[in-house]
Amino acid sequence: MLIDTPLLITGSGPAALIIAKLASGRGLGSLIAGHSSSQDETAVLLSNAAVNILSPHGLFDVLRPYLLSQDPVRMSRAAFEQVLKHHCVADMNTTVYDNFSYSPIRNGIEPQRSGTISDGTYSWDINADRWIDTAIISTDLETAINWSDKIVTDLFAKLN
Amino acid sequence: MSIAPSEEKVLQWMDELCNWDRWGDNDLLGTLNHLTPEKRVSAAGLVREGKSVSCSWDIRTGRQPGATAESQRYMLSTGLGLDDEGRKGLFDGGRAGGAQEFIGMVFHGLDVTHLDSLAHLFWDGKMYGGAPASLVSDRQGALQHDVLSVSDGITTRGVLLDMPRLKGVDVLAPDQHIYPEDLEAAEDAAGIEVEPGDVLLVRTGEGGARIREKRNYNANKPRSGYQAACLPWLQERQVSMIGSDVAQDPTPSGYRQVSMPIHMVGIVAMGLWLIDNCQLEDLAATCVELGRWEFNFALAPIRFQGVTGSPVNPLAIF
Repeated sequence: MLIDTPLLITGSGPAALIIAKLASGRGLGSLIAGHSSSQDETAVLLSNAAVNILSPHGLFDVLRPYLLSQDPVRMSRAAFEQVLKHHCVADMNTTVYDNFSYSPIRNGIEPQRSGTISDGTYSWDINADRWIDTAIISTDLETAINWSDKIVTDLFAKLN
Repeated sequence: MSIAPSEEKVLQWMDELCNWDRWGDNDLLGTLNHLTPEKRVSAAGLVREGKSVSCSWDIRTGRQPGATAESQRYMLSTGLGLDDEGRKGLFDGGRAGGAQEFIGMVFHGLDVTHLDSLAHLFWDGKMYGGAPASLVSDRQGALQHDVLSVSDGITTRGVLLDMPRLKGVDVLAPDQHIYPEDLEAAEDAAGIEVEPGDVLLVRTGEGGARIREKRNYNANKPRSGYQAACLPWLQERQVSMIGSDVAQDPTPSGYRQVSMPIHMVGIVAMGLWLIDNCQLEDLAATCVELGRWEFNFALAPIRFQGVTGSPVNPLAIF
């Protein structure tokens, strides 16, 4: 069976989940393949700018019960990713496959947006209109939120 | 070999299987209209051995490794510290005590056994019956089609179709989707027929994997489920509700626009009530033990006002 998705998101880190939720909030479906949530319980600070990025999409509301403090806003990356991941799973626009690897078909220099995903037992051919590999994005929460916002904004600018 | 319907065909079913005008204006019950008082009385006759089986998973509170849902528990009072001198002084020897907690959860998803109300999903900005999706808001929740539509509970005949037993496997492979012909083969194997008003439960075997693998079980993966081709079959058989040990739809479904056709066409167009993530292992074992795959089925959602479903503990009573 061929998996056909508007947006394939590979790689771990908070950005994979933020991008999926920001895209979903604007009606774009995605497949998150191979994401592994952080176990880092260290408290990190979130700026007002980061909170403002998350707020219009309801993401900050689902994170709110897990904040370590409200003012200033602090939470751990582990809580951020575990909570957000569950909301990705429950999101009708988002599909989450854990423990999956993605092998793009390479044609020349640039990897194409088609390939296979596999859990080691089964594999599926996949076509994606767009592919974002979050492995290159910082796992620092503040940075990941800002970058994710920029990526999704650029994505929709191209779509429009 | 079974042929998957095209996505164009599945999208046509949004209209062709639409029940919006079938049971009058402002209908809140959808396919539960197939469930009649006579059916309830008849189903009660299936209670013979006096045995009751839960079809629900435990809800684990607190964030736990491997759990996809982060159900919260906050203890308001506990049994700790009852021997503290200060407490004894306050309560005349400290003989009385008690415990209470706050519980919070997202029951939709792939973990908690839950009922989807008809406010759970939208297509083209509308819910079942054509109600605008904007009737579900941050401030008030679902003003239409919340779970209170079934606050009196559901009792009817339940039927289990055990697909791994039919296929001779522990668990269906992810691309081994369930087609109408599979449902009919399972009916034949069980010597029963799905009838109007029934609750149909379909086992894929994923529940067994979840038990075997414990906290290592990963629900975020491709899994089997009802292929979209079952939608006209469910309509024709007039089932009142379906459930399974997965979230009904296989993943990947093979469809892009309507990636969860059982959910989307079922809930929005047909008004079909769904019970996601049932625990069907105990039920399957009981069916084998008693040699029958039909039973009295009972389910009562929590009376959440304005909520798009409810965690539930469905019961199969033999």
